[in-house]
Amino acid sequence: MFDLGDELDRLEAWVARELRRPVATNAARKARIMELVRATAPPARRARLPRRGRGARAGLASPIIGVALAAGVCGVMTAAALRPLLVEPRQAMAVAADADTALGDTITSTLRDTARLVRTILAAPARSGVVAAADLTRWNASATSVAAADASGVSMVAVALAPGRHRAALTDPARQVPEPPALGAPGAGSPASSADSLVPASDTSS
Amino acid sequence: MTDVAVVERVLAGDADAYAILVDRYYDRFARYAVHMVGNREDAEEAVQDAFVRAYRSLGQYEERERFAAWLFRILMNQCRTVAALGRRRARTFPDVDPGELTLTDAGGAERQELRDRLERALAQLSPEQREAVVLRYGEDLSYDDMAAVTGAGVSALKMRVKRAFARLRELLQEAYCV
Repeated sequence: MFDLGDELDRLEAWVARELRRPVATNAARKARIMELVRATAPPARRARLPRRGRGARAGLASPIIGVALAAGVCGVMTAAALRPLLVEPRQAMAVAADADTALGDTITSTLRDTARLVRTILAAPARSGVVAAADLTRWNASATSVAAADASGVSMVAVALAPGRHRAALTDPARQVPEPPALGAPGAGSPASSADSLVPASDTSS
Repeated sequence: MTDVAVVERVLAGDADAYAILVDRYYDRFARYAVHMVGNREDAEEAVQDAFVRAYRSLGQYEERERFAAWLFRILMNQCRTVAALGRRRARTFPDVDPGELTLTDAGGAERQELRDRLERALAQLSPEQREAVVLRYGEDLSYDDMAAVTGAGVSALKMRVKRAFARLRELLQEAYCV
């Protein structure tokens, strides 16, 4: 007699067996991990904060301190809400020959441990439109949309990036952007190189 | 040597000791990443990034948490990032272990076809459902352990696994005939 429970059990067992099968791995990839580790600065032990004692709790219980803390938190939240409007020139970006200027980029938020939302503001008055191409788009110039320029030629793009440094280029919408040579390589003479930028996405905030 | 002892050695300046952890977890991580990301190349890149990221953050590891769970969570985040950034290339299917190829019987081709269908079915699940199935069935984690690494509640995870498996069963119904 057909037993649905038995069938499910067998299916579960089969799925588990298949998912637990070892996969072939690349020994070179594995070895590369230790190469990268040796090239990385040694991790620093995090300083431990002293545990709060009863005295600290007693201080927090004061209503005056409580009100002051609440006001401070409100102030920080308000500042955080306004922060995206205040773009700090975090790192100067290269200026293109035709006066395109990346005004600055800023990490506006930490999407998660491994992704940062990076906003870049750029002025390209001579261009009818701007696209951004970068490592993450595999240098496909149509993959990332840029907010249309306003009357002054200022555009904005926001992209989610993994922490690290990313190479990006600003160019005309119709232009194909070849992937530039590796960072620091001599003769970085791709069409994108004159207007490209290193976008840092390492910190949780700028 | 326990994971914590290795971590202590690394934090004391012995970077080469980290290779012990890489050897200990690489294969398991690669297996998980292949199922989550869908192809070996991206999977191994995610594993590599996870190990390097973990090394950089080793000072933040706190011993009250199991090291394997901490490390695994970094890998999970890395796999999610690969998916979220749309970096997946066309999904291919896990390479067959060459050692196993020599062991396959006359029904090997059919078995491989079923495996491919399982991978295709997994690819059609939502990332959360795929993660739940792989953690539960592939990694054999208890629901408590799943909750620890995903941050989701046990009841929510049970429901997620149940629904994911029901969906997987639908997708496999045609293929599953063993």
